[in-house]
Amino acid sequence: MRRGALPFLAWIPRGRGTTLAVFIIRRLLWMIPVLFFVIVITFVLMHLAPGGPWDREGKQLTPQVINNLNIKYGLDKPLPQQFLTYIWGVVHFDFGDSLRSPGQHVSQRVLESWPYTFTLGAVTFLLLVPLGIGLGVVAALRQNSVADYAALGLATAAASTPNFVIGIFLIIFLALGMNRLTGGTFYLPTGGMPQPFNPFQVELIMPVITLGALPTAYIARLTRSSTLDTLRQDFVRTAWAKGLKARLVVMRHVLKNSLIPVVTALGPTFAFLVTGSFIVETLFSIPGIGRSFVTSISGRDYTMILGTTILFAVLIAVVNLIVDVLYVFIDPRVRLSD
Amino acid sequence: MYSGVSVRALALATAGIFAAAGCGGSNGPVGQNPAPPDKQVLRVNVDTEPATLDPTQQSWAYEGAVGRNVFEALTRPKADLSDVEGAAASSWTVSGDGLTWTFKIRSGEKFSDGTPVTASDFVYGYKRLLDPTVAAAYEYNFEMIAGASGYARVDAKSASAVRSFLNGLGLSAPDPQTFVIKLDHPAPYFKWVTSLWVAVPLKKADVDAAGADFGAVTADSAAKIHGNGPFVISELVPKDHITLSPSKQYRTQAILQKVILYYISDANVEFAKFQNGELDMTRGVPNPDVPTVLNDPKLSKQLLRGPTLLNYWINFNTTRAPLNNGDLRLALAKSLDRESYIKNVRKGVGTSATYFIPNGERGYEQSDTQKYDCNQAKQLLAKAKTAGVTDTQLAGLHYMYPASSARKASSEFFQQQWKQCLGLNIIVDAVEGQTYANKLKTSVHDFWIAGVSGWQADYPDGQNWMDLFVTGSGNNYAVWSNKQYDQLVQKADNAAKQTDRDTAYSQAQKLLEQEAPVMFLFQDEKFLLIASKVRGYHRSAIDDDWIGDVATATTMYIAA
Repeated sequence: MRRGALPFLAWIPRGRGTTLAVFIIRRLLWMIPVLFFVIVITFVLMHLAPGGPWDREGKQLTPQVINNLNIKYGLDKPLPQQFLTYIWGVVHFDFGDSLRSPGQHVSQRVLESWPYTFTLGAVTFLLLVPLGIGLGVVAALRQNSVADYAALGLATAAASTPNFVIGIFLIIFLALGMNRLTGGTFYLPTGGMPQPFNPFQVELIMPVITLGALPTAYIARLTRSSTLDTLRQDFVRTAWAKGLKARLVVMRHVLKNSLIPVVTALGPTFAFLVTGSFIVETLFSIPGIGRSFVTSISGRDYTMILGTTILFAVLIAVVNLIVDVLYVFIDPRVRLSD
Repeated sequence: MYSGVSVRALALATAGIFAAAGCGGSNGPVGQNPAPPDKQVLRVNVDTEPATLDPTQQSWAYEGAVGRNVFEALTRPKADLSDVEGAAASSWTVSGDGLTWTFKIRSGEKFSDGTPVTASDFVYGYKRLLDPTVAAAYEYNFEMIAGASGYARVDAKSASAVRSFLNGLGLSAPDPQTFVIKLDHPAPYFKWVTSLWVAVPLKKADVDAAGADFGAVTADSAAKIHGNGPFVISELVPKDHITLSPSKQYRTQAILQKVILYYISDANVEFAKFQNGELDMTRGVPNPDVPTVLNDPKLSKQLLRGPTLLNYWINFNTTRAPLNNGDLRLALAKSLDRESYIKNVRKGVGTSATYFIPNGERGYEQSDTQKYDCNQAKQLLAKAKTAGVTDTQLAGLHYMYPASSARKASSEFFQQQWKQCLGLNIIVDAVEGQTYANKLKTSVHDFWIAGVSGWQADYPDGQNWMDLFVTGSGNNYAVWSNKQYDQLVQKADNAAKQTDRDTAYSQAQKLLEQEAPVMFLFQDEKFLLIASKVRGYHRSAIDDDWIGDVATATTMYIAA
């Protein structure tokens, strides 16, 4: 990556002596131009999409009402002016009002749904990491054994079944089926999330399985192939030759080295999980951000689309930064500077 | 009310024959053995979170579900839909020329904070509805009020222009109990307009305190809204649910202690929740599950079916060749077997319809003009061809629909029917929802054939239907223009005598069916599940959701 492109960042020290703190500050400042371009692209694409926030399939709004709505939300102004007004607002942390929900601020709407999505995503992530890595390592260590085929088969099945199929399957068999079978003693609600930020609620069981199936399978397969690669390395053979115990070989030599590509994948996986899934949130009636994002796109709620995109962009940037920092601790060869 | 035309309405099919049109479903007598107060909890689904709690800005059924409970309009339709009866108004009189309507506010009518409802609260509510800076969707229904027809010409950016427009409206409160509305022209259907959920009294203090945020769907704003209806919002969890509890100030106390409104937009999820005991009422049943429900001993007992004033049709772009040819349009209309459509695609939910004003409303007339008749359709096509419609033009016809799996099945059925009878190869295009809405707009109208569109009665008066196809109407997607139709409708809208109105609407309706700017398809039916413990639910054909103009939560209760 070229670092000299933006003169206003030139004062940040560069080179071998860059410390972690400076690295992080530099990357955080880099988010500003990144966000700017994310806003530009979203703004342009959103206005290029046919239709507007006042188009509806049902009973039409009258031209005079549309005209007044445009005035109310500043959509009567030329696009460049709307853009500048928006940017000016963002600089002041004002993301405007939702066009579809009169009197409601975008930041408020986004922050209302975010805790639900985050809780679901974080719980899924915390469960899938040990599960995915564990399955992958076991499969690699017992290559071509029953355990390997079972783990691989499970992973392939989980990766190739669409999540709406898994979700409906769980609702019908786990919730409805068990409820009927046990006459109500086993009762699992089909969805909802009564308390955000609480990882221990039965309501989470089905959505976590549905949301986590694909990424767990992905992590398992990745860990397996990466571990197999490492097992064939010279230093592993040396370790075995030295007569080290199997546990030491695996934990100290194999696992540590084979996890580097997995950590790279975990970053985007985490970002994917905490930005919400429209399907999972709709199936399990979770008032999350994935659902609200898709609804605002289909309703051309311009300010909601921009606000949510900005949140997602910040999340992904921060997650990538964390992954880059983690490298330092996992792989001593990695330096933070260029 | 905006309803029916959502993707959901099609996905949630409903069936059957309307035996007793006009009187809807009902389940059990009132007052029999109610459960203790802590069990009086009703859990319903309203599909989507309301966009606003401000009744004047509400336009969807899921918003009216809140507004109608928290506020009360001047009048409400009678259960048999023959007329309106007093709600917040105890009585009213209309002057001989039909221009001055004087309403007496019910004595003892109070807001939920205990302050009395006065005529000036109504003046304020009506003015907010017509305030250009509020831009309320239902403003159009009130433009017959004296001065209101100038709405379009008011500069919303000029505070003084807005003020003088609002002050010039024919709304006044000569004393706290008397609300006087002056109209520009006689409008006999105005009595229905005063029953709409948007035309309610508002406390000026509430609106002033909240400013631009009035009605925002937030946890704290709910307690700041005081209505005059039977319920208050006792809890609001954004995007998850709203809980209503009885208002202590309302004249009759509801038996239900809590009504929880959930937002479940997926019909399959809703069905699962009902089966799992998490919902007491559904909005419908997923189309593929209709046979399951009918055959299940437990579910079929909890099924409630009834007529609904919701009709569906397919639009022809009458300004684009070859669809500017009326014979071709009628040929297309007569070549579709609607009985087979209802039976095979919709699993028996709804009735095939070749009429405009729906069964169950005054003005309904069965009509054979567009009825399925393949031989006649072929003759009409031949006639259109002699009039200059070419095969090349016919080969270029497209049918556009908003993409969804339920609509795909319908669209392919239409395509196959037109091919079977007329030998036409009509290309079917699935278009993203908002793009579809944009192409359909009368200012764009970029399509040949598009559907399925529908209309649900706001109130059971011919005017609400017939005005749709008047020249220049925004909902006239066919962009059809017929002077004779326009004159008949205008005459009927304004005539003082109901029989004169009926005659003119009937003539206009026949003209519409014959000219076929749209081809009528089916009338929808409510096909919902209601738990056997829920009693006292009485719905009429005008009601769409669990609550409507006639159906009210005040009569409902949970049986022990």
